[in-house]
Amino acid sequence: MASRGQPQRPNGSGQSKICQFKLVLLGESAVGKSSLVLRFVKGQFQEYQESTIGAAFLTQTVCLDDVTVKFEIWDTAGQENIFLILPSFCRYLRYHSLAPMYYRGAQTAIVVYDISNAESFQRAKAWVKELQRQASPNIVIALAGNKADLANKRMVDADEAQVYAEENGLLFMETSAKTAMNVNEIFLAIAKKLPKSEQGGGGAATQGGARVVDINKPANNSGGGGCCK
Amino acid sequence: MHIRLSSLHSIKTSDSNMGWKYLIFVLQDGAVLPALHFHKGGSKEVLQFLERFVWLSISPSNPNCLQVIDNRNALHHSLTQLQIFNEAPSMSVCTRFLKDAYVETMVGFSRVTKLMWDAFGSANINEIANNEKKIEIDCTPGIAVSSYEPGFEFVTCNKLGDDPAVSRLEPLTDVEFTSFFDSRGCLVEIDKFLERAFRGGLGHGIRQEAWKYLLNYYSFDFNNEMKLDRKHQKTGEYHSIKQQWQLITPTQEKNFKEFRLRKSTVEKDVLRTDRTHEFYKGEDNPNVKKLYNILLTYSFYNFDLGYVQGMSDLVSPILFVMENEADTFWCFVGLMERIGSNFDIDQKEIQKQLSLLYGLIRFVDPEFCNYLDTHDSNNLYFCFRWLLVLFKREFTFQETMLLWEVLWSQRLSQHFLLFICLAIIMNQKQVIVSNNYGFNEIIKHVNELALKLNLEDILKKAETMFIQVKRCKTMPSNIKELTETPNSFGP
Repeated sequence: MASRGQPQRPNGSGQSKICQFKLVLLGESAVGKSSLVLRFVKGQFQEYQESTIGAAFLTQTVCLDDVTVKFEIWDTAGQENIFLILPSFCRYLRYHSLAPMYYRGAQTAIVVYDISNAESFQRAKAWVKELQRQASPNIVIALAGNKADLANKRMVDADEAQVYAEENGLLFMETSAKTAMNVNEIFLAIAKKLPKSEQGGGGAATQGGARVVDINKPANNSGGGGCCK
Repeated sequence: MHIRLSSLHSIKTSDSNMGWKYLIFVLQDGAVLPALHFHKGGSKEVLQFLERFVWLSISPSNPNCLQVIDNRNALHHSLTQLQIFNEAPSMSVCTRFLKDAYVETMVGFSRVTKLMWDAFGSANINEIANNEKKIEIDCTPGIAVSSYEPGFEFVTCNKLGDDPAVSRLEPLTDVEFTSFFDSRGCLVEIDKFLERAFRGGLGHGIRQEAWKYLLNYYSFDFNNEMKLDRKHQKTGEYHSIKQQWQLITPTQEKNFKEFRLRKSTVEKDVLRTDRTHEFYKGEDNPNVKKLYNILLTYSFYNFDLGYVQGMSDLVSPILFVMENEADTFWCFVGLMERIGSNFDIDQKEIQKQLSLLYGLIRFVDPEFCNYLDTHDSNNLYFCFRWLLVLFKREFTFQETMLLWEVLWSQRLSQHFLLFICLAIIMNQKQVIVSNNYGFNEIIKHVNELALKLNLEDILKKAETMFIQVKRCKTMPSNIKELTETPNSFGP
């Protein structure tokens, strides 16, 4: 059996289906969004990870007992000016008039803050609010208090964040892309929480559920819509 | 330009005694689309193909006009029942037509097919795209223009013609550079200088002086004395702007959220800009502090724009070359005079450039352009980073400096950057199409090209394509603008 929490490439053995989910990372600049993705997808860490310009797209899979969850990850720039170029993301900010063609209904979001930066936690809360207001009602939101390795510079109390997460129905973990602490775990927790039925757990068919892929057939990577199509 | 089948009114056909066939689409609002000429046959197939979607009937008043009857119902009918792209015969009609027609025709018709693809979903686009890809077009070099109806112009280059010979040179040397000056220190051989900067870049030893010209810190006609004056005056000016933020007291800062925000954004970015480069390596590196000072000062110099991510990438190589803060600052100001609007929050300028680039792709390779259209990628967002930081993330530090010199020489065009984009896109076309990449995969693929591109090859290809486009006799005005060489070195 696949070891839990370890990202794996799907190999088809004993797996019946793959569910694809669109995941977006949001959060203030330099809280470690790209680093979390780099750790999760490639198992690497770079001390001086460059700022993200525009957006990056990566994929990674997580094996659960009966299903392989494939994340289509959109890593965004922290400063609004330079990622809003994608109208897909605009719905979350000020340019609501631009059609979120590609991004209609990300099924899950990780909102990231830096535990050594109090303002980044405030910004994270604003993101959560924005998502709750604008995104698909079934969206699974996880809150990641990153840079947990900087415990001596802590400015955000873990209990406070935990309480906030519970009040808002968010998954919550403190993570460290540097030490890999809780990185796979948070993605795994999201994978478990996401509805796997084709109908999308009772939500809107185009927004809530995964696109189920028969792994016996060749991968179809056409188009950009994923399950939003 | 799209043709909605539902907006099609009629199709005019040529006289039977004419040597070849043409079709002219007339829309319900009276618009007449450019004629599609069929010198080698194929018009019948097009009409047969169209009849799968619309009912065509010969006009009682004009035997050369086919009227579209009740197209909405016919379209609906075809949508729900025909499922044409799952049927082999219709594919072959489509393919045969494409093979027979001239490029101009294909481009025109591709818009119709695009509409059909849109209408039918993307089920078999891959197959069609692949078929389209294989088509060999047999025609003479030059340009295809359909301007049958006055006032309509529908231009694409049907073939770019032979590759013109393009050569690149070694970087400009110290000795050669010195020879461009007169005895008073004025740079008199401006053309030679710019041509050399364009064709080979600059030796590192002369960059500190030469970039001041390229970035409008110095004028070419400044003699030695004037250059010293300029430096003196501008250094003072820099420090007085810098003092404005240095004098902000901790109490003021506590009450000045915007300032705190700027400071922290700049700080976070300089701490991760080129930190693996020798010049910025290590803790408490003084150059990182300089970078910080320059960027924060710029955000006071241009308060409305402020600091936007990406700026640190632009300043970093300039500081590496200039070494001192004030010179770097003014060179950066010169650069921002040209490209600062790329950082505007409304992103209009970047969007404009992306749309110019789209026009360029449409002009040189309509087939691939159609591919992008049908794969959610005609917004060209995958080029965003290229444009914003002038390829800084795509090439090594050394290569970036050379690339920037080529751009800043403004030798061929102020829009040469777009031809570099075009060259890279054309180089990646095969990979993108054969893997059937969509929006997500193209972004991923393009991001992963970073540090894997061969700059010299790309510069050659960009220049080649520039020349090929420029020698097309007829082209849309927006493309023409891109190929215009500035009369003089501009700000």
